[in-house]
Amino acid sequence: MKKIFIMDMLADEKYLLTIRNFFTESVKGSGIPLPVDDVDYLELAVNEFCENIIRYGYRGRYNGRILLKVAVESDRISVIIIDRGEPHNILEFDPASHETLVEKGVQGKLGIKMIKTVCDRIYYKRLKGKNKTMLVKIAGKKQADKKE
Amino acid sequence: MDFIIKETQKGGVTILELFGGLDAHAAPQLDAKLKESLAAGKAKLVIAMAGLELISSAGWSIFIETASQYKEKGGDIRLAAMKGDAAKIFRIMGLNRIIKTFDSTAEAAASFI
Repeated sequence: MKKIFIMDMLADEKYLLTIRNFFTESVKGSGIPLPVDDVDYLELAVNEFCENIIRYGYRGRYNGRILLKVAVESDRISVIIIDRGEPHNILEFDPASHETLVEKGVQGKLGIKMIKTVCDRIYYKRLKGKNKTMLVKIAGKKQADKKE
Repeated sequence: MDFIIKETQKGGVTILELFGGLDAHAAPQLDAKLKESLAAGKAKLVIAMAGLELISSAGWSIFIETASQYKEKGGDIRLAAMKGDAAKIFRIMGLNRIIKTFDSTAEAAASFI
């Protein structure tokens, strides 16, 4: 069984809470029981990814939009995020090293490191001027000891 | 839940209790508060995190970048009462090598004495 929820939202930092609420309510509304930690981690990753789209993909443009498609299944949660910002293949970015964090505290790279740390699978495709990224969390997969 | 900051003083230590989601939208509010406290000479700071529902990289970056400014003024930023998933992220990201954390606000405040 798969349940799908879709939301189209203006790409603005003031709507990040709305995006997070949509994600968590979608998972709850699916009625499919999933580990709370997995939902929390993916909520964080979705938030991070949308922050990056707003800040770097749309570069502060306030007419951009973000489309979220949340697919809930008994063994995983998948979130497809589509935007029309600059191409940003998360798979091509190296996560920030500890030294980079200490010396520069680079927010964008810290966010990418967080996304790559908490997600079990990430897919990216650029198609007809759109970025299509999928973040996947596998239910019950041990996260705490995952190394970068 | 919107982001809220509540400030108290305890024996020369400033305690900021944070509530809600610390994301890119809320981060400038915290950044301004930290700079305001430092400018006022309040260099010993405890961030009480039990009320935080989420901390994004925007929030963590502020802690990382501002902690060194507090240290230059003879103080520090210390984090307290971090909840489960935030604590895990903190450790997985290696941020525990940059900022000190404590189980409770009282312990964090006492560490300055």
